[in-house]
Amino acid sequence: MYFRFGAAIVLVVAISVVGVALEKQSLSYRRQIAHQRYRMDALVEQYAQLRLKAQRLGAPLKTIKSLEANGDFKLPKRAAQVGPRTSLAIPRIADGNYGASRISEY
Amino acid sequence: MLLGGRLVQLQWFSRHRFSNQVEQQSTFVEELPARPGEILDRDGRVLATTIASKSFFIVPSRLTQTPGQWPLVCKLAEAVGQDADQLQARIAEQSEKHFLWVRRRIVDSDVVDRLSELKWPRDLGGFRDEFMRQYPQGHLAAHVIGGRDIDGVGRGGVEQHLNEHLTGKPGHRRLVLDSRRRVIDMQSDVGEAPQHGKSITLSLDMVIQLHVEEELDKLMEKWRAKHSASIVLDAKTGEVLAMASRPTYDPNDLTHVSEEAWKNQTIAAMYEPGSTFKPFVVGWGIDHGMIRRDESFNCENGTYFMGRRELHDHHKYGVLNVTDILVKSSNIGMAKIGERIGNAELYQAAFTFGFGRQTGIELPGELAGRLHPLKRWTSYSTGSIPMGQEIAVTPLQLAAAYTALTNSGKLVTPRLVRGTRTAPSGRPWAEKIERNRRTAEKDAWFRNISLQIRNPASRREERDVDEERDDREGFPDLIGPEQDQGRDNESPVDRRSDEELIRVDDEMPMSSAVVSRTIRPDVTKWLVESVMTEVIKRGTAKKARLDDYTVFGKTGTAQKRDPATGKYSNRLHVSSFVGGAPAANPRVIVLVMVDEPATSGEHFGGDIAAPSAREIIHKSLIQLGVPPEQKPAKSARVETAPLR
Repeated sequence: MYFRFGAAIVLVVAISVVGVALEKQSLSYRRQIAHQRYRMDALVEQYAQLRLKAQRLGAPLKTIKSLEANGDFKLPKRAAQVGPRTSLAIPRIADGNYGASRISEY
Repeated sequence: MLLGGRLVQLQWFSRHRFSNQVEQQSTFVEELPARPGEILDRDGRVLATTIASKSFFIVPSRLTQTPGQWPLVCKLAEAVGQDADQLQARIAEQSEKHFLWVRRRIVDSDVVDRLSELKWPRDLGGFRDEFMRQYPQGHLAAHVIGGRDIDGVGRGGVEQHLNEHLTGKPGHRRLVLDSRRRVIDMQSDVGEAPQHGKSITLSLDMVIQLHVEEELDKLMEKWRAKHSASIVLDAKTGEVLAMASRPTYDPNDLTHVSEEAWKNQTIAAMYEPGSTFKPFVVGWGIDHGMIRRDESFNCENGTYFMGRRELHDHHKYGVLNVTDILVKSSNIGMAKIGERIGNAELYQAAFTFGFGRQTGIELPGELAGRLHPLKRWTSYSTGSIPMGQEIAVTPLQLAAAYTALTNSGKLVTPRLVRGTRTAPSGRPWAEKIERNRRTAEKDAWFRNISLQIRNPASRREERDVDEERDDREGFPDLIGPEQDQGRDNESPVDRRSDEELIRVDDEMPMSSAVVSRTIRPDVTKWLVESVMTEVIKRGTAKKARLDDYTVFGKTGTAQKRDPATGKYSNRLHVSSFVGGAPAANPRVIVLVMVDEPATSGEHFGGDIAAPSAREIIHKSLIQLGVPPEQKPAKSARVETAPLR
């Protein structure tokens, strides 16, 4: 009888301990999730701030003058074919520019 | 018995009241603000973005009851850089209230540090996080973008028109508090994540926009004009590549914006188009067989009586053919063409080219222009309309109408919004990828409507024949399902959009890229490649000529009504130029409008607007990567290659 009583007590205590452990683990995970969310919010905000800074620094308003002054811009190299066209569109040509390569007729 | 009754009362009848009370004391519902979406240009440059910022508030009702209030207020005023007396007066005024902003959206981190060092009692106020809109491109495209007021609501431009989509929907979460109202837990299962706003990609190209704005600034400085405006449209798709208006403002600082500066002149200014309207009348007349291309008209040596009305040309012309009437911009020649066409057809022409109704651009405050109903037209109109009087247009309407001339008679609706990039909660800036699809039904519907407007059965038959002929010749529709099928039909600008992989949102109020037919392709081809290039070579727009590209266009110099007399003024004018390049395969349409140029008495569109339009056309074509048609002359300026 004492044995049964003792076993029941042990069982109850064991279940409680396991329950508490699971609860603690669950709480720990929730804290981690909350922490991750906070970190992600902070990173998103940091990303937004840095993106804003980069966009401000690279805005055409600021950069175009110096780029033009340095002569970094030139006319597109390849001349367009002058004459009647075949298509309303101009497909991209090999060097990355766009050129009228299809001749159209009306 | 008594105790039992009381127990039942507490546990049963009053249980909702008590449980609510407990919940209110132990929980707090916190709103999670949604981050507004970004606005981007066609190359992904950020035009508007959002960052978090700190705002500081106080609780006046408690602060006024606190002993030693004045020293606290002094410290606070010093920290935020305000006058202590004024702050105290504000607090006294709002002493019954439980909430008062002291300073919102603090940008300066020093101010935030100083406020943090105050260790302000928590029950008397504190910080709150708020989103703050930032416009990294400064004043560029201010009228297109608009701004956001102190409460984060869109005011003007795309910010207002698409406010609902940009703003998103805030979420909430429930926090569990202890007896001292400190957070001890978060009930994430009963919360709702915020739905962040959608990011929107516009068709603007900020490099072209910059060139346009620089030209407008020069124009305003040189001619001391009242207003000015300019638009660059993609001649194929009708997409707005640049849109600018003067005076303007900086959306980052909306506190000192004049009332005039708010107005987007490109959509909210109406003016008589003057000679820029003439090509539509000539095109319509030729299309309907009322005049011939090789026909000549006697321009009466500069004076012509049309009934009791006396018409004059700027120069005396004798007999001019139709081309020269447009090249020399003869009003008498146009009046005679108007007599041939008649009021009913003139009205149809104006309506078919989109005048007198909104274009449907995705911006608030667009005006419809003014096209009086036909029953109000008189014999006076027969002479006035062909020379661009008695009709009022917005700059956007006029530029859009020119897309019909560059698109073989197909009128393209101007568009500003290309699509959205969704930012689902938890995954900001993640892009949903889907190809841009347009419904063929919309195009077909609008095309049918357009044909019905013109109505007479004979015309319909004629049009059907034309359509069949176009189909036989494999003439591609510019916008529509065909474009999805055949990549060869896409313009370079379209190709870039493919790379961006932008999603088109069905719920978004975007203008539909509808196309309607106006006049025959051979007529538009003749107008653009022959007549309007002659206007540049030897006509009124010589100053728009470029060495590298064949420019086409038409100048306009419209008299304004004098507010004092109510009659046309010889002093007040609207000078304009509409044109594009290359003439053989137009890529851009540029409109420049200058309202009341006041310097040196010059007022002709060819002198005032054309030189700026030339610069804009040149720089736009280079930015779009359109190669020159001829070898540049040695003296030609070395200009830009596309800037990405």
